Amino acid sequence: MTDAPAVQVRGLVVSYRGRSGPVTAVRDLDLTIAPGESYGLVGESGSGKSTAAMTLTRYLPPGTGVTAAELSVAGTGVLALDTPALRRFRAGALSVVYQEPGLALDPTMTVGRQIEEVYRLHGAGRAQARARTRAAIERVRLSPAGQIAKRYPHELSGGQQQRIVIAMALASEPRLLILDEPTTGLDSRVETEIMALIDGLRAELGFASILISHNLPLIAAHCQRIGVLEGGVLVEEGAAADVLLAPRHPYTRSLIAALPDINAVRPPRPAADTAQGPLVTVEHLTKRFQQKAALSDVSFTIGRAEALGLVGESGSGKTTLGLSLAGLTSYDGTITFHTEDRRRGRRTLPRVQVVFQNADSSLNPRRSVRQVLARSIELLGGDQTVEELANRTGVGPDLLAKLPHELSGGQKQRVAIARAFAGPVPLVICDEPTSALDVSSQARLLDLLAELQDRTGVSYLFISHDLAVVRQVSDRIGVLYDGELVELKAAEEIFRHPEHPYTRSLVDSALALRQAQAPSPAPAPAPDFGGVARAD
Amino acid sequence: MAVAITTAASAEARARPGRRRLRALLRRPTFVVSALIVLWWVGAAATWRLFGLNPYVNTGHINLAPGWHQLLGTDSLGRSVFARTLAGADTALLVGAFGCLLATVLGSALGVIAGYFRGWVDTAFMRLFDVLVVLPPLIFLIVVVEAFGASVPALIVIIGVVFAPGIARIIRAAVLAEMGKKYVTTAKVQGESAARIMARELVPNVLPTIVIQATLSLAAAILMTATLSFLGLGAQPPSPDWGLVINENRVYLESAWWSVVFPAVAVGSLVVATQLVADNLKEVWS
Amino acid sequence: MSVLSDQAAALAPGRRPGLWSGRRSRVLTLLGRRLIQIPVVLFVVSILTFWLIELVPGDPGRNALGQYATPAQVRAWDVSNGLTGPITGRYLHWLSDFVSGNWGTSFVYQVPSRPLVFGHLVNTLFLGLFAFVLLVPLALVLGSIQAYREGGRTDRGITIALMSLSSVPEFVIGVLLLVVFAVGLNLVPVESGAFATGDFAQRLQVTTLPAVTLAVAYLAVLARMVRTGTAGALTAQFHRTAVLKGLRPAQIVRRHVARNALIPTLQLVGIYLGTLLGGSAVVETLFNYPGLGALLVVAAERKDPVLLTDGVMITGVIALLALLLTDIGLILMDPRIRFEAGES
Repeated sequence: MTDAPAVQVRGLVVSYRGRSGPVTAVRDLDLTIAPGESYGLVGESGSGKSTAAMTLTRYLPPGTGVTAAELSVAGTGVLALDTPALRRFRAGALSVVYQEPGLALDPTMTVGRQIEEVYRLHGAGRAQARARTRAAIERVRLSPAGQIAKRYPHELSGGQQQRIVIAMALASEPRLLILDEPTTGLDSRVETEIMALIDGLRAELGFASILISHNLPLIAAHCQRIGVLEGGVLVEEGAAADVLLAPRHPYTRSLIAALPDINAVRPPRPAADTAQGPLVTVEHLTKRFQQKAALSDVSFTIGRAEALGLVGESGSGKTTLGLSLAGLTSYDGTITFHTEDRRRGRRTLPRVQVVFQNADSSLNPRRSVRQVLARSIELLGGDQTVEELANRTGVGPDLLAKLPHELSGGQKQRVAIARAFAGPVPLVICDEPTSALDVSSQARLLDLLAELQDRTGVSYLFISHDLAVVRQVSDRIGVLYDGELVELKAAEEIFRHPEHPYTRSLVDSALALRQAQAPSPAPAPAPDFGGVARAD
Repeated sequence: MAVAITTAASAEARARPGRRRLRALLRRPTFVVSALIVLWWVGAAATWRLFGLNPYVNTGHINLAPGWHQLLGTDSLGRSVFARTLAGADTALLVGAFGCLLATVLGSALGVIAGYFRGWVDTAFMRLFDVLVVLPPLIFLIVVVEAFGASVPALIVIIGVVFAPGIARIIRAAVLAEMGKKYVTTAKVQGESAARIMARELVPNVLPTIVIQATLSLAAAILMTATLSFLGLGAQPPSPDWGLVINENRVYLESAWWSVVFPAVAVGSLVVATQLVADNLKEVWS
Repeated sequence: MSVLSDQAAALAPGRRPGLWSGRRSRVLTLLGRRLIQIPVVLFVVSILTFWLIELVPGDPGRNALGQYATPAQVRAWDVSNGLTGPITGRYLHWLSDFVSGNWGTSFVYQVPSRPLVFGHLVNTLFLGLFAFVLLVPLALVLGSIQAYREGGRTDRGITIALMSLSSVPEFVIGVLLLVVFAVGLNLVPVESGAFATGDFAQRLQVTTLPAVTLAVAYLAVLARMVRTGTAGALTAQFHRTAVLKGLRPAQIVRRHVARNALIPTLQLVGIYLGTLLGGSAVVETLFNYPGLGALLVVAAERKDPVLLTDGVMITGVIALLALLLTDIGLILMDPRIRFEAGES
């Protein structure tokens, strides 16, 4: 029995009832995963990758139809199980690590008791379960285990929560671990740590794993074999390096082509007009929330027609910095714009526009694209028609009459960009403008932003957690760490000579995630923050 | 071809969301029935005089049981229960409708302003609400009615003022949710004025909540009006107001149940029907 | 006083449990804070009530002495009852009397106000608790049945039935119940007043109809809250985690669903508890039940400022204590909740 493959699937078809008839989510899928193997399933949202994996647990929304010639996990035919057997199967054979650990944990129970529950289910006594729980928490490198066990989920950070979920998943000693986007939403440094932890535990415990992600470099770095799903069909499968270096299917090729190239630098542009001096000078900018400093003594300048990139993990103060520049929050220190005020009537026209991360909420759901753009041109004092503006920003003329809910994520973000460019505004702040989009839309939007800058001479403050994305757009890159600007230099310099330890870890993890893509002789070592995870 | 069809369909959906919702409403039997009941009472209140009904005159027969001669019987003063029941719709609907309209306008304005500006406006408002939660609403109302009188205009103002904080609280919550969305921030960054952001960006997006709250408070306002007159604080005899009639005649419950039961069914049906209309609106809209 | 916690702030990650995070210490913190807040709220309520009563037209002295008293007699009566002079002085006088337990004499009943109010309060508490005991279990059962059958025929049927039942005015439900059980079946007396002070069995018998009427009025909203809470817990991701852990259904309900489902319900239960125990003017009047609500209606109608202020204050105390009780319950059930000022 132990020699049975961890997963054996033949001819799997999954369909559910859609608004207009049945929709096939997974089509004729064959999948074999050996014991102890790490397998990666990649695809964009809606490709059926999560559905395919969750079918292995038989936990699907009511009304989902599943047929398969074979569907077994560790030798157990999943589809034939009756209710009690299904429960025993879920308790023993497999476990799942979910995308949002904060939601996957019961908010009203201490994390220790949630892990204990699994040991108790497998027959451990109360004291024994508690001792094992403590050991399990230590195994996912959280300490002090005794104290962590007594905490509630909301008292832990996202990374810590995910470690608890992993400890809980491994408590039943499963043959298969399903990792459903386990690091999406976590900072890249935490992502690296979590993935290293999982790799280490697999080597130690010998379970097989399926890693589901839209992030191709992540999968490539942590899986032996990769399957690529498109529209519910497995279009390509093979060893990680082969798929990444020699993709055969056009879809895989397009996925790889759209990846932000870590080595790509923005082509040199005609030198920004330095004679006029900088556009904005920020001096000693400090912002406190209650007692905690979100920004402490940050000083820098943004040149005319320059793109300044700003990286940092969540909570580093980068969004606060953007809000301060946009005049949306109070602060200490000075921000000086070296421009003349443009007036229209009694109103001073704004000097800053912002493109936000979440395109869903940045458009008023009750106003059409045309209304939004027309009003923006009026407010920003632009001298173009709505059609001209739409044309310049790649908003198709057919979109003008539509309401936001009829647009795709990429289209919405284009409208948000068009709105920022409705008038001659000297500075546009882009706050994670592409992080909610899939890679191909991201690549097109980054091109648009670069093109608009070349044409209009606008300055950018480009905020992101993704160093590779920032590098594509920026002339200079600043690194924010705990509210301090720890490093600020030309884009290539950051990569070539990172000085601050945090910058170094950022560069290393960016390279580590993409090393399989561009095989380098010396693999970057995993960043080390002191072995045991910090209580971040 | 498929693309073209989708576009056409969505264009239609966009052009007439109102008509689409109306169609969805008309497919719901509970909505149709309760809307008809509401319309019946509105009709009764508007037209009973035209049919020559007299709710005040003694027919000469006291406590007559329902029958051919008097459809719903007569009360202890020999007045026609049928006429009184139809005429009783007057006050309830008048005070209910206008009180609720006032409450909605007042409450929405307060809620939008408190939610948009936050700060001390908001804090003062919330603290006031904390106090109002402690005061039993009916006792509060009784004292206010005693102080300002029970004429129809006074009742309308009182209902409006008493109901406004509850509506404001819900609208404020809805506005706060919208304020978290970036389209409001963007409007601010673009230099849009506060008044215009509230009127053009926020109000259209909380409008469904406003309409639902208005309908819900219509039911509550009718109920409150009837309750006040039941307690002897609203309409005064010989008014045929339902609440008053029920209170006057409950001592005859054992000898003339019809003089109590028919007005009771009347007020019950109107409040329930209004409430169900509100509930259906809520479901179709969200 | 912020009754509902700010979920967003409470859920902020990285909040380290400090010295004050244990349940006991959080309850103590809440008690300490309320010890200050409750008198403040009551103070505001008393000012508001006093001022409103001042606006009520009418002449208590004339009412008490009848139409044959001379103006001089009425004036003397007013003076001896502290109804003359500036309002601030009278208010402070009343306040010091109230705090020291000297509540004055009811104008209408011509008896000391305190025993009168407390006597009616006991009756109201009996009725309120009876209604509460009927209401809560029924709401829990109906609401969870609906949640487990969400969207089905049973669910929609119960919703419509409850909605209709609860929107019917209390006095209409009461009248209909009286018609059936008192007039038709002769099981209970039409008037409950005379029997409300008898032995327990008799009290229970006469209180049943008023209690049922009250319970019906609040059932729909409470059941709907239970339904929403339970449905939320059933579709929550932690529910999926529990199922995929391989827990037995009973364990899932007991450990993961019940507590999470009840949290939103509990907030509403607290408000209802306050309302029910504070007395229902309508139901008590309809059934001639000698409770606090009916007493306050009489006091308002016949312009008895002493009785009215004292009664409103007691109702306020009951409502605030009920809220406090609920908030303690919430702390025990939900580790995330924090009652912090200024976070609403």
